[in-house]
Amino acid sequence: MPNTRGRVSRDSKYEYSAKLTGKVLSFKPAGDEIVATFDETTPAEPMSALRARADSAVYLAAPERGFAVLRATAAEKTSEALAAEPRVSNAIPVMLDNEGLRRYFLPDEFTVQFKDSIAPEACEALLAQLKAPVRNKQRTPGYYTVGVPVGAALFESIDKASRLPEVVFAEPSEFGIDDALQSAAATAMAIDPSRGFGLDAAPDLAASDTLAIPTDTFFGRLWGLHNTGQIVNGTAGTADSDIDAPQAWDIEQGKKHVVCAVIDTGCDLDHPDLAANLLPRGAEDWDFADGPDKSPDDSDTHGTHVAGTIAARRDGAGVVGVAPGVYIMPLRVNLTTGMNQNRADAINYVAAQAVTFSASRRYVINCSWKMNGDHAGVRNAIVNAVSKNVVVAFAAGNANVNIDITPQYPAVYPEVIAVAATDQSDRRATFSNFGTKVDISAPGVNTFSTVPNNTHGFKDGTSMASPHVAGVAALIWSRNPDLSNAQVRTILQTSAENIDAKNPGFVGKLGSGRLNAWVALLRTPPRRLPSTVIARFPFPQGNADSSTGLKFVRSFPLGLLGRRPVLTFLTQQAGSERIYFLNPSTGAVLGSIDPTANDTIGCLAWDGLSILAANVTTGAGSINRINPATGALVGSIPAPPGRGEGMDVVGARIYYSTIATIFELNRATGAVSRSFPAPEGQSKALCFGRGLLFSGQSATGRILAFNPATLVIHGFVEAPGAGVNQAEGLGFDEVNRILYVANQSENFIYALRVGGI
Amino acid sequence: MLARAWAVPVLFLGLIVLDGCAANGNMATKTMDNPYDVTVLVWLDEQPGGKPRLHVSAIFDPRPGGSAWKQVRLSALELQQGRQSWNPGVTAMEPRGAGFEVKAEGEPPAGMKGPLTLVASFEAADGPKRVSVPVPRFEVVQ
Repeated sequence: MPNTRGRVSRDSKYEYSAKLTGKVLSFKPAGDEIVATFDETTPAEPMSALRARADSAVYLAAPERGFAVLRATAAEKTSEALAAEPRVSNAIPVMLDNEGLRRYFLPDEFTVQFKDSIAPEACEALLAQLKAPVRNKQRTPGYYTVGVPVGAALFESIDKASRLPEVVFAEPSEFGIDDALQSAAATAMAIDPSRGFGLDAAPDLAASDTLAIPTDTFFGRLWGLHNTGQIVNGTAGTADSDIDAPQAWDIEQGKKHVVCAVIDTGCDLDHPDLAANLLPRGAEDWDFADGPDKSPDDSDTHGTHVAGTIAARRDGAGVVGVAPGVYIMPLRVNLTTGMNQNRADAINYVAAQAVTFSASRRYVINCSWKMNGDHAGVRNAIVNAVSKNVVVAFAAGNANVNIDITPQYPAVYPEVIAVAATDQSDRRATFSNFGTKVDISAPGVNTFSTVPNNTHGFKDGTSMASPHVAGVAALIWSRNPDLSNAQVRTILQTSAENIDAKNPGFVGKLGSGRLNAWVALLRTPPRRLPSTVIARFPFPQGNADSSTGLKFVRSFPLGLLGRRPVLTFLTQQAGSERIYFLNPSTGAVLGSIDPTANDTIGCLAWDGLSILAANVTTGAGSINRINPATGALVGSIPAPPGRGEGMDVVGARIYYSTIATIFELNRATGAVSRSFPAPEGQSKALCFGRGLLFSGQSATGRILAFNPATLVIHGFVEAPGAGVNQAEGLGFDEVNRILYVANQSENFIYALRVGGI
Repeated sequence: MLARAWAVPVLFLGLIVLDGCAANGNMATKTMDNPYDVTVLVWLDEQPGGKPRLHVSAIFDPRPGGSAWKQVRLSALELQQGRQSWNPGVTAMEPRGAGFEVKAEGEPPAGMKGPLTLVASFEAADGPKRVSVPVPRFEVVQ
């Protein structure tokens, strides 16, 4: 019968040198289990032979991959006997490593990672020299699963490969164990990688979306998102032991430029709560499992549940995820008997995607799984992903142990965000691991989410906590894609709520506390909106010594010239004001008026009939209506006391700034309906457009764009030019998205084309 | 595939226990012969990527006015279900507040049916102690 693996010999010592760390890794037989391999092309006969043996019992098998785990009371002796079995290729005892962790190595395979600079042909030539046949060319460039040369021993062969200068590391081919799973396939990215972040996107939220509790059927069960103390799955909680999702969603619900890679058991691709949020696969292959089944559907329930917690749709049905507006990219790995190197491939795949789409996307990885022990391939992949600006979250594990003492890999790698689980009252979940290597905690008990076949269900575990963190990372990046992954991580950790008082035995061992999405978003700095200076023209009067005002009016009655787009521009010199009407393309003066009824004007606006001018002479304040043809006073309404520095008309309202405070006034009466502090403490100019209020900030040189209903800052434009009074007047052409900025330090008007709004 | 073979009876075990017991996993259980309130939880860790493990946590909180055991150490722990019993592969005892926590883990049992009882034996300065408490909840965590 065929034996493509070939017989290998037994190592004299179970140890090899880990090239990345320089440490010698020693192992000893666990004494009760064996890994046996056979030819995977004809598995039936060897499996029958293994099952027929009296000295051992098959515990689990991966016939399609050509190996099985057997239990035996005298494992080392039995493994020698198995190696002599004609239908078995090779056998090796299951090992314990120097951390006491149980390792499942294949006796006749190992993996080799070559340096990036080595061409595939050269890699394969070197492997041929080693007489190590390529069993699988991993998807990660330069990463190979190879056979131990016939007659050679496993660990000796690893050391021999490691000694090659072209090799980054070599290590045993190892698998993990859990539920039976299958595998998957895929198809093509449809998005142009050169395209920027949401340049055509609308602002975050319409005013009507403010703080709405989702109407999704089971929202009441999602205590981790919104905990009112409700009873969930038979257990009552404590109000506010949650991540404050509704408050967070008032700021950000997620955007499609963020992709959450769920490296797990797959995902129910047809689940109505998920399907619309799955990134189109196109021609991409998202199957990192070994099996022949190419469907990416979840044959388990784990991956679908995790995906739902991250990004189930906010659609009035089922559940809602932490970041319902982002994309999910389900990468299926075999978590039953899957090889660690395939998981490394999946992580490296995300890293490669993050490079390809660096201009247009941000990537978060969630991994709600563990490994048997330290693994160079997976560690290397994580380091690679993090170096490519990917956020990587891992579940801390469910063994109720201190991972500083009993490490759970990969959660203990410093590059990942290790997530512990909390219950409905912010207590550490009894099962959750803990320790200083935990980075943050998140809800992970009685977690309700999607499961395959259009259903939903409860699950417990740190597997359920980790996707909460991944979801909030996605929200942060939705709000500001300019942040680095390190900044996202810092925001996650510094915004967590301290839960030490509820966990007296675990102070310092639950990370920085329980995740809080709302605080995280409040601490996320607004993004810089892309802008380009398309024109600049000097103030018509040469300079302005104390005050300027500016507005873009699309249809302004300009006497004999008729209605046309105009920049209305106010300057003041030594108490003498003049309002000019400028061609918005060239800055040419088309006309001007002397607003004779006003001694001092702080700012101006246009209400469709009259020029509105803030009269600030007395300090008591009024807003005067001025005839646009003659400059004559035609009426006035009261204004809040203080110097009016910015003003614009929005429907029946006027937004009016007195530097530190912005008032919302009734346009007809001047009655104050609302007031709020100016964003970042100062507003020297105001204008409205595309649902946003733009506010000039001299101290920072930024023009902040915010939703006047929610006060959520959408982003900022860097004020053009130099000086300390860079944005003293603002006007906005909504159609062409051109922001006009009066720089009073330079005495120039700048025209900026603004993106991201 | 064989991983499924044991998963079925364990799941069944979980259902039986849930049917027969209170749903509150943190329910403190008072016993007449010890000075502690004992909170016990048993769960099966099915987090993918590693072998499923059965875990036990029993937290012993001194009752007000009770006389805590001196120089106490764990000598044995098992889960009982009718005539069957499960012995963990690993046990540990750690201080927890004014009391202590007993931890155990091991390979999941197969075929046990009916409500579980935790039986723990200790050696203390004034002699051996034995505590028997029902397990109020069996969980599967992932």
